[in-house]
Amino acid sequence: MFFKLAWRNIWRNKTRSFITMGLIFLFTLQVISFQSLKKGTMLAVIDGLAGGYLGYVHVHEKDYWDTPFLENAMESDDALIEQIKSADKVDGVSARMSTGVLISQDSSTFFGMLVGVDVEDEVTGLLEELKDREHCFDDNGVVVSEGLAKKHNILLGDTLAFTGQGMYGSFAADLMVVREIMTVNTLEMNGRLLIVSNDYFREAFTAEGFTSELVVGVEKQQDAEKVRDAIIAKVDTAKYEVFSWKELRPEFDQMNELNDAGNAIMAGILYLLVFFGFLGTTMMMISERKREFGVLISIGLSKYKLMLINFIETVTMSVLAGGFAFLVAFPLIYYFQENPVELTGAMKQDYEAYGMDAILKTTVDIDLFATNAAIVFALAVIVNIISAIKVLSIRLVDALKGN
Amino acid sequence: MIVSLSWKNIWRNKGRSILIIVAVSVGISLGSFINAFQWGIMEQRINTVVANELSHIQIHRDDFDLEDLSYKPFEYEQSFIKELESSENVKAVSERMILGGMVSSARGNLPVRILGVNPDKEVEICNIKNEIVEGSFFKNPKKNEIVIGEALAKKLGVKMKSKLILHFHDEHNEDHIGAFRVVGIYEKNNDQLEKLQVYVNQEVVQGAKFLNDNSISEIAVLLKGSDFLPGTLADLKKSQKELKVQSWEELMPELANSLVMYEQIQLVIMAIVMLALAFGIVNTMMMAVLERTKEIGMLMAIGVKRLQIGAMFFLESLFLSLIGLPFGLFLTYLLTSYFGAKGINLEQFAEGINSFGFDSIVYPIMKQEFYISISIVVFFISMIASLFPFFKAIKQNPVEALKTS
Amino acid sequence: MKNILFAIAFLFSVVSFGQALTAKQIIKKVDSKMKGTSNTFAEMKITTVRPKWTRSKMLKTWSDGKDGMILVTEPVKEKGIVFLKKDKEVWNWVPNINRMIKMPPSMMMQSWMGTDLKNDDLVRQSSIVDDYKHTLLKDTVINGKDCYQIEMIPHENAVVVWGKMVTCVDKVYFVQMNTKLYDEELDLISTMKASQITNYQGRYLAKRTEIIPVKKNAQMTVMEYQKLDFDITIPENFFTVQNMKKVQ
Repeated sequence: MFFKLAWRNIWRNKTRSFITMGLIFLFTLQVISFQSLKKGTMLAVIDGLAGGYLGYVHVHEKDYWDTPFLENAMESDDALIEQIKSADKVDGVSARMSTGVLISQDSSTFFGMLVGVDVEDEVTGLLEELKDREHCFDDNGVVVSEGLAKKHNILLGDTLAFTGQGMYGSFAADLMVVREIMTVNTLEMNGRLLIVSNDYFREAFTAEGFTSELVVGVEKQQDAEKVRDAIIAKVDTAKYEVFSWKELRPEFDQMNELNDAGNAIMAGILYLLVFFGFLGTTMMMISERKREFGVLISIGLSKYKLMLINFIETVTMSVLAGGFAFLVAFPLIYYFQENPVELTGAMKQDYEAYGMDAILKTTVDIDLFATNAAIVFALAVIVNIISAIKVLSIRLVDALKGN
Repeated sequence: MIVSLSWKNIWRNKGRSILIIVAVSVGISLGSFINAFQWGIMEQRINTVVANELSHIQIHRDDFDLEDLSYKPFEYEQSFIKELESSENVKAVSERMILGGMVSSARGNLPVRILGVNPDKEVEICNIKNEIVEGSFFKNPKKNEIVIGEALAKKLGVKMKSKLILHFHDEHNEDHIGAFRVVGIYEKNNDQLEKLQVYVNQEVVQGAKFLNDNSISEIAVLLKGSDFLPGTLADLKKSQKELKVQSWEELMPELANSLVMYEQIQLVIMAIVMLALAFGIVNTMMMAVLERTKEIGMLMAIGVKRLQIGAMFFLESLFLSLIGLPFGLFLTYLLTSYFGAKGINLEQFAEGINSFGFDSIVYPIMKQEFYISISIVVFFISMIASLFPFFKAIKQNPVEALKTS
Repeated sequence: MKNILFAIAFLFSVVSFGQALTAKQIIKKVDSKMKGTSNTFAEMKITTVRPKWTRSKMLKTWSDGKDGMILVTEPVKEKGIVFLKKDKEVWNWVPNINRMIKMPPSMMMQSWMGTDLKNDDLVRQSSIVDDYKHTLLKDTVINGKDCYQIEMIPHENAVVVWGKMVTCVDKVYFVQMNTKLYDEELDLISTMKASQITNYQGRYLAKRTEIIPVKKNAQMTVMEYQKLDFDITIPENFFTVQNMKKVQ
């Protein structure tokens, strides 16, 4: 019954209600959009860095990442791969080989990082940009990163000679043909990387039966740590080490945490402001309806019941407004998630200098929505408590008099 | 008359007015504080780079490349250095040799960038003296002393007084090798840099046992203030045509660009905060109009025109915001002064931030110009926000208004 | 080549009896086996031993006391690879990719062909006489042979990473039978063990040397002479980059 009363009250004065709800609506919309944008862009950055080359979760021979030399690679084990695949939320596993090589090209000699990949099953987006993925890696084909190619004037079709240390102390040396030049998402890697097929790598380095790194794919970026833990539960951790991208490259983790912290602070401030606005509006509403309240009290409605009705009014309005905001935000956010905005000009250059895609992206993150909804609700409750105090202090006589 | 009426009206409903004023103040101060905070981070980064790494201007041989560690010496006149040093805008000058090489201990070896410096000059131009955590920045310029980073010491398993073998090439690709003792260990809050950069005495490297040559590969210039940069830069570029003269902005364009980006972001943030605030003000004032329909009716009845009534509400709203402004600015001043002196420790948000070249303590900075730009923004937004109650008030129907009882 | 042959000393002169030798004199004697030698040619087998595998290579080496050339003859995959040490540089010829590579300084500290030797060992020569201060310790017995035991501490400016070396020298043949290398904290880093003293054309040397890094177990590098000739004729221009492609 109280609810019906409350409901009717809301619609009795449409203007007033809409003004209040409008405030909440706009605010919630703004906060969600802002957070979604910042978080989404950061996720895109991480996706470019971790999803475009590094991978979200790695499994190696124990202590490999400390001294990532070929001699510390693990013995390939199909059973291990099956164990990993059986872990929850794992979206594929691919093998990689990795070592430093000395490239000899006419008169210059320089170092590069030679990486072997599983041409068909590569789990990250590393090979996505290739124009002709299948034939790139035929025989002794190599894909050279764009930065490295530029620095040493390497062109398509060039022959690169490399020497390096193979397994069993063998001396690895061979000629490779540059089949494609590709931009790699990380600035650092873009200046160093040469990609060949795992088969070629293993043969050249007498490393058949070895794997340097197992790269594990995840369905969603946020699953990375859960996946890591799920894998740790399944494999022999005395023999292997399992890391998420945060442990592999802690500096990216820092960036992410700082971004989240900044977000939280901004959101906090905005909520503070909406709180003031909401409070002001509600207080005024009560002032305006003093006479009405006075009448109700005088016909016997207890103050507490009045408070309850008020409470329901406030909360209903904020829920409606907030809910509507979510409804409106959702398609917008979804749209921008699928179609991120590309940055241009100076901003684009800056992002790319750090090796990131210059885009603005949003994210449909349930956590984000839920947290915000909870906060909006909590604010409504607090506002209500304060206004309830005001209601309690209504003096009947003054109210009836219309003061 | 309307003006004085508006003013009196504000104080009639103390609760509401104070609420708005407080909201405005808080909004302004928090928004500004965020900006000050971000600016503090930027300033710090730039200062670190200028004061500790690049200085304001660097002069190299014209084929210099920041990435390339091979030795690229050029000849120079002592008179040129003296002239620079005595120039009134210049705070310090340091000539350096930069060589790429390897450093080895019994436990391992790493590639390094070797800086052959004149210790007396070097401490004037950058902060190295304060970065030393153990030992000192050289004791005897004639000895085979080496100063290394903490991260390098750890990686090589060495400490003070340990011996390191330094191995490098000169510009003719000739090999040089020597034994050096660690006399100092520095900490720069940047693991990568600490592992890469080692310091040795210039005199030793130039000496007969090594290069036997007086040339250097870098002249770094620190000015008395960044205002002098454009002028000095232009002069040097003109007078040293055969050499490459660059400012830190040219050496690290990405840093200069982030500056620009930050300035833009600041405006955006301020706008967002003010927008939020505006919602609140508009809302409250709209309610005010509704609440005071009776009053409006009466005013209309005694002949006050609609426009005037609208203006009254407009002014009320404007006044409230503008009163909040100085309070907000003052609050900003207090916050930034307090934290600007004390600093905010970021470590709780991101442990380990120290190792990536960021100082975990940030000192927010509020620039004078911001107080002005904030005031302007607040003024405009208040104006616009106040238009809403204006229009609302104008549309009130006097008959309806009077009927409300 | 001197450092590869470091633990393999050749006896040059008559061993003197009845004189109490100082530590320095003993080391001088060991060292003199390597100085003033004529051109040498050797066939060596280098075996790399690791916890999970063991592989060997066969080499031919030439040295004139200053420069040196190494030709890999086995295994098949690496046959024909040549290293030249000339002045302070190391060159590498790799026939199956047809490339002549000058070893960059940053590679000097990396392992030579997967062994426990470093590239730098091919080149760098510290003098065991001049670079160290020698102290005679108590005599000891290695493989049933009486040995002097000498502690060697490098001089301040010696271009040597070690903090200390302790070497045991056979009293009869003046061959270093066991040498321990310590860092400046006096932690043991590596041990060299020599064995099978053999007479090579009048010179006595250890046929077999093991280098055992202490940080890893079941890991070492073994060097064994298959053949060792002294006073051979080496043509002019032998130790040149061009000759690397032709050497057999």
